[in-house]
Amino acid sequence: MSNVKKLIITAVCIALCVVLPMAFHAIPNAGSIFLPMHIPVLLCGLICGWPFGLAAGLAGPFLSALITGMPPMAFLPSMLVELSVYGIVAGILAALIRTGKPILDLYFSLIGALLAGRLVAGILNALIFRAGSYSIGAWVTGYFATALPGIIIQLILIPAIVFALERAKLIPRRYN
Amino acid sequence: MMHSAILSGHYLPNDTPIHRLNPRAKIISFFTLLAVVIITRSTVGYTALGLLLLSLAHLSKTGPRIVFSGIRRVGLFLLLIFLMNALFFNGDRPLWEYAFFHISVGGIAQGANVALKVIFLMALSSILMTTTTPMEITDTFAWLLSPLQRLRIPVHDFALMISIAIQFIPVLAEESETIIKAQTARAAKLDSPKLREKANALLPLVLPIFISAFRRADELALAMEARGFRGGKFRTRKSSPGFTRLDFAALTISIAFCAAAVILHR
Amino acid sequence: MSIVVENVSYRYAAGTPLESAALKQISFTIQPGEFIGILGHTGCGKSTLIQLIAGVLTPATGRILLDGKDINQRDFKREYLRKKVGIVFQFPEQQLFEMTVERDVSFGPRQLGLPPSEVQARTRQAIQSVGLDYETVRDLSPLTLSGGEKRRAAIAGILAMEPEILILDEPIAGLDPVTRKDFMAFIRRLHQEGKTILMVSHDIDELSAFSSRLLVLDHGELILDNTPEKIFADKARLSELRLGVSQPKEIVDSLREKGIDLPSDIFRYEPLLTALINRFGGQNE
Repeated sequence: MSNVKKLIITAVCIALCVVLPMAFHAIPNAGSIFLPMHIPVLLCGLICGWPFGLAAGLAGPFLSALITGMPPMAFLPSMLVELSVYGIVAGILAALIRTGKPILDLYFSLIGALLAGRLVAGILNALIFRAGSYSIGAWVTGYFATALPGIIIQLILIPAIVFALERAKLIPRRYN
Repeated sequence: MMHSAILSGHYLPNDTPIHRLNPRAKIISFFTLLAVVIITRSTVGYTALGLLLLSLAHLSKTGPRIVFSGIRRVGLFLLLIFLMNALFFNGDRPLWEYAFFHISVGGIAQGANVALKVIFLMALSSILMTTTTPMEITDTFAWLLSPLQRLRIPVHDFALMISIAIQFIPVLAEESETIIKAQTARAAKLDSPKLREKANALLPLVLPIFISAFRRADELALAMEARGFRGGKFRTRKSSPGFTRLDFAALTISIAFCAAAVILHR
Repeated sequence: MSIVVENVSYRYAAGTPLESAALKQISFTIQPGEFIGILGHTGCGKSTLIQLIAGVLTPATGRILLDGKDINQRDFKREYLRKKVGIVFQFPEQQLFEMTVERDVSFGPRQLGLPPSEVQARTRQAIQSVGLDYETVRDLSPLTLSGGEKRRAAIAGILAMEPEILILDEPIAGLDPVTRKDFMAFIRRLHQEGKTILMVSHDIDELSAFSSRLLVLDHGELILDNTPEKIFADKARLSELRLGVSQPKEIVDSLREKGIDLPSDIFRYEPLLTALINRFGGQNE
């Protein structure tokens, strides 16, 4: 894919970071369950590579906070870190992991990205953003226990989106 | 349904002194006042800051309804922060203790401190966002970040990406809303308690949204490539108008507040 | 089966500073077998109106009654509404998502909980009725079809739910002239087979071709509700609303101005042709 196309895809993913939470706001429980802002960022990293994933992870939550007030400014810093790590790690792993089976590549890259993002956000929360009032317990509850359904839903949705985009010939196939 | 989600952070066109501020002066003042919110710990500090925010809200005609609607949305969370601190924080002057619960004057003060900070941050940012267009905000950020260009970070590409994203938002929002309605009319259900079924129920909504968004990306990329766009060097930003007396006044007031806060909480 | 729209109003962005009225006090009744055209400029509220009828929006005030029951009452079964009323949104091809055309078309019937044999029969029937070959397309990805085929597949997805009332929002927008003609003929056939049709357009020619009744909306208000004959008779009123008349009507009026005597109530092509042949003679079949 050309750099121009990657740039525009990233722009669209950033826009979706703003649009999806709004769109699913009205459906009871949907937003809190499937963490709509994570999906475009992860997808952007997987498809366009880590620099673009990073850009989406920074600009998506930032723009959403500017335009919709969600996430509130107080949570923006830790969310920026979490999402940019998703974008970067998803991009790096997607480039490195080539098992020959697209679905496995996707799963490994996604799981790696989701773990890394949560780890880094947890460490930064403990050290900087919420220094002193943060514990391992709070980290596990906040990032894993309550988010587990969201993680599982992402693992189902993202590969489905990637394959649909490939079928529609909007992104190149991973293996020919 | 989408319109209700835009309340606290939506630009409201108007002609007030705050709207008329140069976006650069406004955003520098915003960050200075943000620092004040973070530094402040004392009752005097919060009172002064509160009065300043009230007068800003009044001047910018942002109105209490909009300022508070954002806060109300995170109300439950605020209560939670307050309770967490009030119940678990092992502060001085304990009032009541049981197992790991400690209620202390120190804890309550800490809880109130954190909750107030969140409220003030939200009020401050909703004043900025109701008076400044997203485009002005991104342009100013690109300007603030432009020194990074020397570190070979493509700040301008980044700014271009954001301005394209901003232009896509209304289109994609409308499209997503239609897709969700269309699938609802095809009897799509989202209320299954099972996780796997829930994910499957989201597919009819999420897949078409991504496909049509990527189709738009594809069309725009083709059009831009056809016109010879290669990324990298592009447009020189039109220079921002100079600062007026109003801008200097805003900067002076916010820097004065910041200095006072630093001295007060040294 | 009838639908009664009773004093319905709708407001956009209710409760925010951007609040604005989209529809004001709309009342009318849809009788079984009608072909109703809804006409108006962009932003007049016509899309909002049909979305209220399809139950994907909820009115601010007023009621929408399906067989006498308010569709927005809590005890009303939404599935009953989905079975009776189908809506084809503008650019319906955007809603395709399944792996194969068959899976996509059968999505609605499956959601309604119909038995598999029934689902399969309806899917096949719906795909055939929109003019696609079932055996050829059933296993194709809908995303690889051509533009016109995609729209057909998407409409098949609604028809497979076998609604009695079919609502169409600008169904032929963005299609090439030949496909447009096919589509209009197809919609007419659906009407002749007994479906009640409610069709939205800003194109008066498209609507006057088949509609038995026209509703004209302007700034959220229902201004006119009558047969096309009656509506076209008051040309002044239409131009006040910045709307014209159909092309055949335009031709008849200019000919009448030139002193050629033709019946003034003609607004479709076929009667115009017959009248011209009667007046000037020719090979009338």
